[in-house]
Amino acid sequence: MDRDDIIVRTQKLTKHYRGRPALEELDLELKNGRIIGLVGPNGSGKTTLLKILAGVLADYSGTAEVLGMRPGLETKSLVSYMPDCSFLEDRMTPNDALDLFADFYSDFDRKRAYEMLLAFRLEPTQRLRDMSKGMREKVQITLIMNRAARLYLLDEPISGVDPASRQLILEGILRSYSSDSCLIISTHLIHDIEPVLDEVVFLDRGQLRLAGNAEDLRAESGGSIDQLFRSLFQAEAARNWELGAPERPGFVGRR
Amino acid sequence: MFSRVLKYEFAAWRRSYARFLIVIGLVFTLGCVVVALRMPIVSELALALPILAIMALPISQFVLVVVSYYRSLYGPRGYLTHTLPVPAGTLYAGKLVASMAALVVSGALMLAAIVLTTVALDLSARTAPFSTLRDALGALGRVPGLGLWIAGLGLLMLLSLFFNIISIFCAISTGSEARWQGLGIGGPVLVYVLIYVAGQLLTLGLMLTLPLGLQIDMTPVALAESGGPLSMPGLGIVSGNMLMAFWDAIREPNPLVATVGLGSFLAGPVLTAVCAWRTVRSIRCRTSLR
Repeated sequence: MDRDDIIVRTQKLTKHYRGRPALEELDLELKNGRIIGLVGPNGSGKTTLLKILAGVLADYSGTAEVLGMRPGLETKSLVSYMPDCSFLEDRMTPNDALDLFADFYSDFDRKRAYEMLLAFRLEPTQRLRDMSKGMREKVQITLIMNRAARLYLLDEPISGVDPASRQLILEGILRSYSSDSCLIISTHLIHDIEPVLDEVVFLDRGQLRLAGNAEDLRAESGGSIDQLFRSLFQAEAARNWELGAPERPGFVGRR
Repeated sequence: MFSRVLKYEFAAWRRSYARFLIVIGLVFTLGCVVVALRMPIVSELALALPILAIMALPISQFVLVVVSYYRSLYGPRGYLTHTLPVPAGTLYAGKLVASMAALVVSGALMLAAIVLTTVALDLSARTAPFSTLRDALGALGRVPGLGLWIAGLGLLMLLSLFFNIISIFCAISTGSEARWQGLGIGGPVLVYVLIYVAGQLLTLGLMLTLPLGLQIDMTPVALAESGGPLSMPGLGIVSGNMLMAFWDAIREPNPLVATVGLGSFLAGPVLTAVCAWRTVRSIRCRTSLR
């Protein structure tokens, strides 16, 4: 892998929450110009990894690098992060939010964002507190994806919205994504995002379970990524259920 | 960048406080009007409304400042705040300046509300408007040094507010770090208690070690109490062993001439500087959003 192409690198990245591991010596290298699906069951460390890369979670051990830099002030202007919660004030309107992003991010395209809002059929002057969860997610996607960032981190961007809105949100994401950046989408709704993924990273209990090119994984498993996910995690869950206690997964992955 | 941070801090303050201010304003106006109308019994009872509004102004503002700091940095909105490409010091300074400005404005509104309440009372007592205020200001001029004392107390209150806000912000930021997260809201509370204890120890330590003191002469006050002209205590700077002065103060709790170690006045600025530094450090490299 060309060193210049690597946008995210982690080495022995470990994060514990009150003694419980969220990430356990995670080694990962992600290349530029890819749409990467970060998948895994609940508690597999997806959100923790994205938080660390976004610079909102500092107390970890090991190494985490974005474009060769430790997440911090320098990387914040290069990373566009959407958490799995509503990060805007309830009293704001989409117009207020666009102004805020335009003021703080020099790479934010306000005109294109406004057009995207209209494409999502959102009212720019409606208060966010009067909007549904799906509408708010569309506003957040509009803000996050209309920055010319090098790395986009989307944590569960389509959870909690109806299937029609999911499709619309995914279209919005793809329309804004530029190929000279990297987009990491964390989700367990694999079926919905599978068609757009270039690569997939499977996390399980804070460790890398499997990673690779989406096409290759499909060819090797003989099914979809969704089926591969089910076969990897459902079988193990059933086995653990029968045995009574979960065991630590072995590393099956390729890089 | 600082001006942009300030702009959004004020916008957030306006959005969250405007409605509350309108409600307080309406309660206050209603109370003052009823008081001025001289309605039997009702007017006397209605005096409680402006008094409540006057008390609610600074208290609500203070609570709002603290809650807003916590929510904007460690609630869901923190995900936006901490991903803005703004240096931690700038972010902190913006929040501090906006908070202090909001508190000073609410203090000014409170003073204005007190003046308006005295006017309502004047009208109620069928005296000329502002006569109570004029009498109070007249009395101020008759006591030598009283104006200076009031100005000094005002400045001291403002500084104390500033120190308090900084220590509360420090408690919130430090108490929200990963090591305290398990305690929930108990983290910031515990850190605040630690800061308070450290402040008390620092005050005592500096008061006893710095060989300079503020001498307060209460003789003019004692003379005034025994029928002499109204006067304020005399002040002067003295040097010497403050440990002895402290010991004297313990032995004789109400002396006519007392000395307070000037070092105690240094504790506030020192602790404030440490708290501010620690808060910026916490925002910059110890943030752990849940």
